[in-house]
Amino acid sequence: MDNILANLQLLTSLAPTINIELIANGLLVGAIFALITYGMALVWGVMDIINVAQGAFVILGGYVSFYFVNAMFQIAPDTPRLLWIILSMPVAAVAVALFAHIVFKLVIERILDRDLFVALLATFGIELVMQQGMNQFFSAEERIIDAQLPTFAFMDYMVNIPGSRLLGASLGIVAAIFIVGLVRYSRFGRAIRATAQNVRAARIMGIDTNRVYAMTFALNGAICGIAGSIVAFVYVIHPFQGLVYTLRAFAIVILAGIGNVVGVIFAALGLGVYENYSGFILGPEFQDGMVFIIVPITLLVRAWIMRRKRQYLK
Amino acid sequence: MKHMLLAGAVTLASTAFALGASAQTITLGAAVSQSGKYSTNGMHTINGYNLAIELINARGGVKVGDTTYKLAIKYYDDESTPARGAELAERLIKQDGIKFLLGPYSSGLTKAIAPVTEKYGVPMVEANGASRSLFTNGYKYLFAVLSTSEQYLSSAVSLAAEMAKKEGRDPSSVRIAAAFENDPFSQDVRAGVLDDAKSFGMKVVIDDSLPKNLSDMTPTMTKVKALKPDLFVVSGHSKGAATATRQMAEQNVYVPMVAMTHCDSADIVGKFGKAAEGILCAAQWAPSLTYQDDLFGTAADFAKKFKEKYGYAPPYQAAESAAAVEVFTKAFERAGSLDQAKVRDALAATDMQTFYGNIKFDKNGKNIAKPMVLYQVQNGELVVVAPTKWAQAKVVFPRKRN
Repeated sequence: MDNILANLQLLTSLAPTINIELIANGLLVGAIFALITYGMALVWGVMDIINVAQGAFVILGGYVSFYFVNAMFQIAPDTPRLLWIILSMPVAAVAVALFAHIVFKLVIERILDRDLFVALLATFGIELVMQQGMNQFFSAEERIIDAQLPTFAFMDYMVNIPGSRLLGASLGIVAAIFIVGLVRYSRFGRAIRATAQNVRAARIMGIDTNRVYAMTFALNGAICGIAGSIVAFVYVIHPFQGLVYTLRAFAIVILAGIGNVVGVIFAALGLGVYENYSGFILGPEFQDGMVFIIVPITLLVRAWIMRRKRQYLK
Repeated sequence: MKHMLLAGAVTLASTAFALGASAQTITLGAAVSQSGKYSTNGMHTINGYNLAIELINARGGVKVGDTTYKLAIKYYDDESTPARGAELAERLIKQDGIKFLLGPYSSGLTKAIAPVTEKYGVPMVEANGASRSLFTNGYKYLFAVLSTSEQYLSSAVSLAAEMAKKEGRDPSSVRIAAAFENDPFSQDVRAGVLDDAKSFGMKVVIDDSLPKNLSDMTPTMTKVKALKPDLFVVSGHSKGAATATRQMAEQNVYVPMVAMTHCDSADIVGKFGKAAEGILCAAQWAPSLTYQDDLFGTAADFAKKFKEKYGYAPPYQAAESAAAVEVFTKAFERAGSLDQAKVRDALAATDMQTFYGNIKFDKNGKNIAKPMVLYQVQNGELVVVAPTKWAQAKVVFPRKRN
């Protein structure tokens, strides 16, 4: 308790500038979450599947990126590091999309018409297999890509913005804009949206919904691949680290509401800041807990609002 | 009838075979993580065990009374889960008839297995469970060759006190920031640091505990930056070491003295280069120490043999595992019998030097004869800086600013 009070005091009177750092870092982290969540929301909205393996896909993307960047350093040691790090994103995107397609053919395709519970179990199983598989293939050692970017310091070193995080967030935003544009303006995107709105009607209109499902799942894989390469140079890659991202993405979708793209972005940024603050005030061990407490609270509030409008939660 | 006879004959034959085999070999049992989150360290453990067995067998084996035995180990994979570890220990003892156990990797697994070995009176020598809670239950059959976890970073606290004195300050003016993972091992390390800080009258200004699936320490770093402590101690397995090293550099956090656990297994030097410079690392063992024994030779000889066989320099996890096998064989020889109670008593009377360090157990089975060592990253190398008796170089203090 004393601890918490002392931390609050630090924020309000002793060193108010650190608020700026907490907020800035929170927003940058939030941008990465937004990308991962967008993929989850897409699969959830279109296919009615909550992909528990989302985090494992992200980590897989991180490994692809890690090995790609390292291999390129070996082959061409004098080339700029940044080039390979940026190039590793499309590589990871393609690799994880292919992997996601295999998973789709093996598992997801068979459970499309089953209820949500079966989908949860199936993707949970995929996650377990992927974790252990990555553990066998890549070992349990922590992997990182060292981007060797400078940190930008302001206000007498009290506010620091790491270059790697800035790069991660901006690449994440670029990728997100591209994907949102794809879903909104392309023919493929129209098919996705039609399928999400009404499967039967879409089929009658001649849309091959099964193909749309396959493409959606692969697209999600690509998103995770990109997010994974960002995670590899901002944080740490470890076979069992995926759950962190799955659970964050889940909380953000609940917070934003399914099918609400703009909501996802704001919820993700907000969550990043909120998480940094709860980590600062209560200590990092409560960071996860404070994220998940949002889920029941949001659901309760939403149910309460709906009851007042005499609606009900589907 | 005929079938029954045949079956009977087969059973007899196989029993005879089993007896014949066990007359020549002592089979030790071990449940070690080959999959799951401890699989890397589990592999170091297994390699350490296997190298010791190989050398002992190459020298003819173990002489117990008048018979000479070869050694073998029966392994199971505990999947890094304590419940599975306990189950496998039970299976090794009850089903496979194993009479002596080697420890698993990690305190959590050892904690799960110790009650089982205790129940059946099976002596267990373990090398990778350092939690001090293992040695407060009055276990009679548990022996640990390594230093317990509360000693890991306490040497850093005394080093900080020493440095403060050198600067003409009172050690009680030292302010400590601590970030420890919320697991039995790291919490023990924390307890050791807090005890020592208290005895010097130092103030702990940050006391954060890190979650198991840690990915971000930014809030802690921000706090450290605001409060400017003199000593920053971190323990959160290799992930904690990697995350702390990276984020300290990224967030421009400067603390004159930084100490961690697991920075060698996290390879912070290889991963971060300059950012790791000056960090102090706690270790159970170092190849530059001057301990020796007649099986492996010196610590450096062990490192050489290990590298020849497995192609990488031995982390201390491998060294302590090899030492555990060595302690077992010496106890067999001194007991002159394979009776479990007699071997247990012989183990309790152990007082020897191995390449890994001196080993003497107190009545709770923990090794009280070996101190921890403290490395510092200097010019990209890990060099021993404390205790002074084995120091290869002087500690660089304060740490250079990047």
